[in-house]
Amino acid sequence: MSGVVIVGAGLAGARCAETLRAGGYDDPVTVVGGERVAPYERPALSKQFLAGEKAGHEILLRPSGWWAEHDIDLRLGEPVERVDLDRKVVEIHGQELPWSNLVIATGARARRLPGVGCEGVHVLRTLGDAVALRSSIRPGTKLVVVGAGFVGAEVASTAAGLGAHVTILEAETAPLARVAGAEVGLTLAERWRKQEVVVRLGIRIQSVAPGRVELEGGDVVPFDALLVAVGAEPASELLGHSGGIPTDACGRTEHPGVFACGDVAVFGGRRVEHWTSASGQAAAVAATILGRPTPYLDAPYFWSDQFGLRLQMVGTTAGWRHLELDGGSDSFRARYVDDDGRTLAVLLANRPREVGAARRELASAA
Amino acid sequence: MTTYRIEIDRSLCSGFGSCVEEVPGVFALDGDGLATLLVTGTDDEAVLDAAGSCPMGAITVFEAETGEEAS
Repeated sequence: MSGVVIVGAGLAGARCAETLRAGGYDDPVTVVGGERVAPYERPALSKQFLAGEKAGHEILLRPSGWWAEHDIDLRLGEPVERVDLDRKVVEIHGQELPWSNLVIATGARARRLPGVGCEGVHVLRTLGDAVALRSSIRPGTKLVVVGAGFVGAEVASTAAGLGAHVTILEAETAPLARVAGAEVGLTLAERWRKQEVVVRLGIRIQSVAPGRVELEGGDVVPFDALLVAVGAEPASELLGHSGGIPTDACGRTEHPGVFACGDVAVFGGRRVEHWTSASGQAAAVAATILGRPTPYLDAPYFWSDQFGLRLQMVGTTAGWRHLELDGGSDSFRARYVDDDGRTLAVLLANRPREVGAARRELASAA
Repeated sequence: MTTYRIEIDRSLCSGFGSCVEEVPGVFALDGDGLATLLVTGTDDEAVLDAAGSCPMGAITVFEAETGEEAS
């Protein structure tokens, strides 16, 4: 038996390998990762790691020796160059690795802005990105964050805590407008502004040169460091896809013996970039390889820690028509409802005790 | 005179090379791309910065005389 080759050593790849071993899988398990680092908690990059509260070894998913102890061959710093579906091999460094089952868990990569790539410009996706960003943030640093999504807001929060002067530039007229609606977005922006962050909405960037962003209309915003936080794109090109790899609810792709999970997968019809989804999808893939196919259909869930708020969202807001907002910028519940009065998603801010109820409500609605 | 003794946990090192940038005379990356020591001890205080700059926290510096961790 040639075993399972998992391409990608993020949460999805790691969890898939662990679940295979925990389920009694006896054949070789190889996890191939493009980064040099053993699997780690990516969510910490914008928070505890960036803040200097945790070192790299404190955000590893498992202690460094754990993988070998469980007979999992971690091959790090070796991006897979090609997948041959007919001969059932992957190519790394001109070497061929055979597989009987292949799992694509290559995740996503940070989206960049065309033409923006000069000195002082950062993205945040990998530990290496976080190292570079961290070393550029000092008390008094002028940090510009382009994009008021969750990563942008978390970095802004951490950097402000480190004493940086932060300016957020957002193209929409409210932060998180598409995901959470303008009313919620503006409530959050109000909180950011109270904590000395400059939030500029409806902004179009004309150009970025070292140390300065020029906006449409002629305004210039100076910076020491600039973070482009405009989302991520699935790294799905190994199988020839550009917008994610479609799978069923067990992670099976159209190719026999080939699976996908995590940020790269359009899993059971939807692509979700959340920790819990990556973990659940990976476990479903492992179960399927073990001969016990178990669909993963849980409502998406994610959290974000920023500016003293713990935001937690259950469900997906796509298609919402009515918003019921209860509370203010220190604590709120936003309920997203469709035309038939059905709750699609609930976003909670500093209301951890309501998460369970929201989950149950969405599970019964599904 | 040697003031500091240095240890690298090679199971944690992930080859970022920040230590080499801090103190090229003490640290180097080997053929596997992992950090290695060119000397076992030094009196160069910059090794404390190197330990602090390691993203993985793989470097520990000790006071040679007392054997206690230096910071």
